[in-house]
Amino acid sequence: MLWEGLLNLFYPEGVSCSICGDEIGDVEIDLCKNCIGEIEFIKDSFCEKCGKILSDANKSLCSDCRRKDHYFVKGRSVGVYEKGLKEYIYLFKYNRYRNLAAPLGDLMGIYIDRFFSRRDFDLITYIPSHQERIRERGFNQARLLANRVGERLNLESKGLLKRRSETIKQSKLARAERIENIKGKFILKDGILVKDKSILLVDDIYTTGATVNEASKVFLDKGADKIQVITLATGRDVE
Amino acid sequence: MIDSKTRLPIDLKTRPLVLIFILMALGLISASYIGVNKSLINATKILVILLNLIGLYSYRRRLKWRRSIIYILIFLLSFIYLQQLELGWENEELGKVIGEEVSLRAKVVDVEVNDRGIEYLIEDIMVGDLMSKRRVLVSNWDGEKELSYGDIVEIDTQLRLAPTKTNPGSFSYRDYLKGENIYARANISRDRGLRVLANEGGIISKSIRELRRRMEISIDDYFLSPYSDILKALLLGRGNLPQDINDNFRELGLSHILVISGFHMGLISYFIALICKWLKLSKALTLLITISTLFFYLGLTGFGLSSVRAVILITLILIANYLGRRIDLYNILAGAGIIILLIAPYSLFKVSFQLSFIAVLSIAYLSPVIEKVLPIKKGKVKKILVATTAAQLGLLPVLAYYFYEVSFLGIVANPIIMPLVSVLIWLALPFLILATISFPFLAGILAFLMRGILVFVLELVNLLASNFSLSLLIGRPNILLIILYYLIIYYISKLLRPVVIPYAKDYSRYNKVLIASVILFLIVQFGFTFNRDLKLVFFDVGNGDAIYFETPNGRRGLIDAGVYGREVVSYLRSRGVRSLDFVFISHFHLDHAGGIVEVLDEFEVDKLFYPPTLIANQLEDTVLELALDREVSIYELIGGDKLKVDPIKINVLGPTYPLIQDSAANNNSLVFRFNYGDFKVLFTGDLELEGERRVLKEYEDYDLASTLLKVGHHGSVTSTSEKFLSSVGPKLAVIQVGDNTYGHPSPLVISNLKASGAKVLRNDQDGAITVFSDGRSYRYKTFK
Repeated sequence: MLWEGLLNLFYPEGVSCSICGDEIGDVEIDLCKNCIGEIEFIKDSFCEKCGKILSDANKSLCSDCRRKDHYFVKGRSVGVYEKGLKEYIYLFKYNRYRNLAAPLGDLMGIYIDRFFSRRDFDLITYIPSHQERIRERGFNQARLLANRVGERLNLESKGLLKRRSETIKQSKLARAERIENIKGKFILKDGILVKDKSILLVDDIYTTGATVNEASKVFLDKGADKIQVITLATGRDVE
Repeated sequence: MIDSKTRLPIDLKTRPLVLIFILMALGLISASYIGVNKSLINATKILVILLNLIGLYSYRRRLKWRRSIIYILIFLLSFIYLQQLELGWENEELGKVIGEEVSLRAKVVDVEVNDRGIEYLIEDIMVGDLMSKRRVLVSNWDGEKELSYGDIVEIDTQLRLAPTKTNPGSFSYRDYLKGENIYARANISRDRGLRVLANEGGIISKSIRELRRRMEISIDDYFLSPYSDILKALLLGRGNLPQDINDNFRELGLSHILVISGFHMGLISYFIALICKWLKLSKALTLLITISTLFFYLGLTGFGLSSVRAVILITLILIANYLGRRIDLYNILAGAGIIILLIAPYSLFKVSFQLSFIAVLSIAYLSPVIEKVLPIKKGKVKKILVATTAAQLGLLPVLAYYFYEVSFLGIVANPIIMPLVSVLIWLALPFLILATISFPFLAGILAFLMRGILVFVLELVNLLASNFSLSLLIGRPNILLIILYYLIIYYISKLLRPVVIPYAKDYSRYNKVLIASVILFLIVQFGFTFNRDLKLVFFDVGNGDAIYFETPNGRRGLIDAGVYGREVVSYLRSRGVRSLDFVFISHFHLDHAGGIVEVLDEFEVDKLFYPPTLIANQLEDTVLELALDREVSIYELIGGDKLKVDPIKINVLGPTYPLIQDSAANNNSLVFRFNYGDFKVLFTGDLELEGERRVLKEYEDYDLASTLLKVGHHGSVTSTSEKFLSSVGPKLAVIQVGDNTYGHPSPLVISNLKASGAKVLRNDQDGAITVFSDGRSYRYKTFK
């Protein structure tokens, strides 16, 4: 007992990488350098509105945002939904990799520090998932990420929205269907006031922006001041 | 907060010992800073008991802050630990017989022969029925009796406490000895009063010492001095290097090479691992053999702090490898520190401890950054260059704090010298074994190679040291400056670290902290030079005069320098002063002008002033010759001369012709007055009654009134007549006096001074005395 305690003092277990289990070096988050290297971060040439990576670096907006405006003010995303990040988000769906919420949430936190002003938010919330899927999986990834982000910002994340009724999984639909599918799907939970509030909306993946856009609309309808969006991964802009 | 997720060197989860070490160190530092206070110790003890109870409760309840209680306890216990030790030191039994002629019985633990005689370290001391666990350092001047370890001796002598620090910029010998558990010193001469009664040395300690002696003899068999001295330092930790070699190595920033360190220990472990592998021994046995050999070597070399650190560190690494545990360098380094502080808490205050730990820490933390910045390709040279630069950057403030100067030659010298010395040690360890067990042929071959390296290294070091001087005297930085320096280094290295996650570094925030630190650094370093004070320092140089002055415009000067000048020199070096504008010599007696020789040697002096003399004097010739040799302008001053050192006017009042015949040197002392507005200071050297009468007569209508009187001739009864005193009418009287057999200062003079309304300050009681004035008011500070 005493011996074990002493050993742990002198040789503590290090922090290991949440993906591969290797020891991590001098890195800010709980992933090793190799696993971080697998992520394609969005650094330059991204859409100024939604944060999606641009195919044409000379433009400032992606094709979507050029076509129509969104209800949210600004969206940013950490990386491209490919390679490492795609795999990590996939793993994150499983209970065994639940603790990925910490490093992935921290990545979002780092991007928030860079692109938003920390004092700018009154509320942090996330996109609610289907009751059915929560039953399947046991947790909502977006909520875990939002919690982690909230911890870093010293602001408690709260579930403000709920789904009106069962919607079909977005990923199974085509683009036009998605926009249609999501319409009117979110309502504000009872007793929630968002009037004049500035809200940070957290989600895992940003594809067309339909989901976060719809949620933003709900808040704005109830008098919210402005909505900003942070997501973990986004697709590439396709012309 | 954002930083809660960046891993700091003090990360609790991955480096739990770092915080514990820091808390221990803080506890020890505050205990040493506050000084012994019995009621504080008792109060702290009660607090500890209370915290224990609260801690117990909070652990049972699993309260959130239960860990913090442990941390507070660690701090408080370290505090009590040192306070208790200090208390024991104050109540030391031997204190009752200090200064008395005693006959003491003790055991000899160490013997060192030097050019003045022999020094013995003794412990288990008995004086009558007093017993002490402390040690005493006995110097046997011109003695010849080489005692051996464990000898029980009887010595008739007188115990003395070593001097404490009484001057700014000096160091406390008493505190230094305390770190070695040495309570007092004693002198005997020519073996008189020294009797050996028996020998009670333990067999192990004796055989280790015998082995060391044999090894020293074998080194002497194969090598001549100074090569043998270097090898003894390098292999056996014997520190008796010739002074010039020591100086050269220090000047080149190579001192660490002459110390037994991690390299030796690593090499020994490597040799043992090879042998054990060859013998197909088990891992456990190999570990056991390695560790015991390292500790044996530690015993052989006398437990130097940097080798103790190295052995503990290597032992911790070997154990980790054996158990297959993860190693975090910062954590085990802190662990080694904790172990050393538990055994010997005073180590924290030793230069060698601080240098050793900060060097390892800097190399570990700064190397990756420097490696990235250095525009050199990979290779052995780059590795050494990176490590030296890292160590140099980390050690800079510590070196400046203790030695007042830093050398940048180390960065160049290390990559050349270090590989050579490494090869030397590679050869030397087998040589030592072969030579000691008498394998003359193999030992001879090794010695031949070693001699080649030694000659080359020493020649190279001499060449470098005598042709290049890149050492910079910067003086002792204050603590705030040191903290800011480390902050700046920390943030720069953070900025330069390689990027893995984009935007992970909050550049704007780092920059803000960095810029703030740099500005603060500059303000602290240069901001306080706008003072308009005249500053005078009356040093405690025993029975002698030495005064330093600094005018409001930053001109610097000395009036006398004591017998040796070392108090003055070390003060000026600690202030980073390299030159003096003026040196005044009151008269050519050793207790005033003796130290001027040292001063002229050490500093660039612009002008030297001295009085005319009646009788030829050896010291005068030496000083003036040296001054001319150093291209100092020399001026003889007599009464009536006037000098102006803006905004201070200096009036010379004496001596005047014809010079006084009686007690000529003293009575013809240079007498002069500083006039700074309303603040006037009269310097009288060793002026006696006759000289005072002359001054009074010559300047009948000259107003002698002064704010401060440097009392003539160390307060002797033959000076400071009541008439003279009433003309001067000082508010402050400084007597430069120390231990003497002349009866200085005279009680009559002191009572006269007090009766005249002057505040009397004495160097023997007050230590150094510093006086400041802005030309209107004044204030003073005593050092003790």
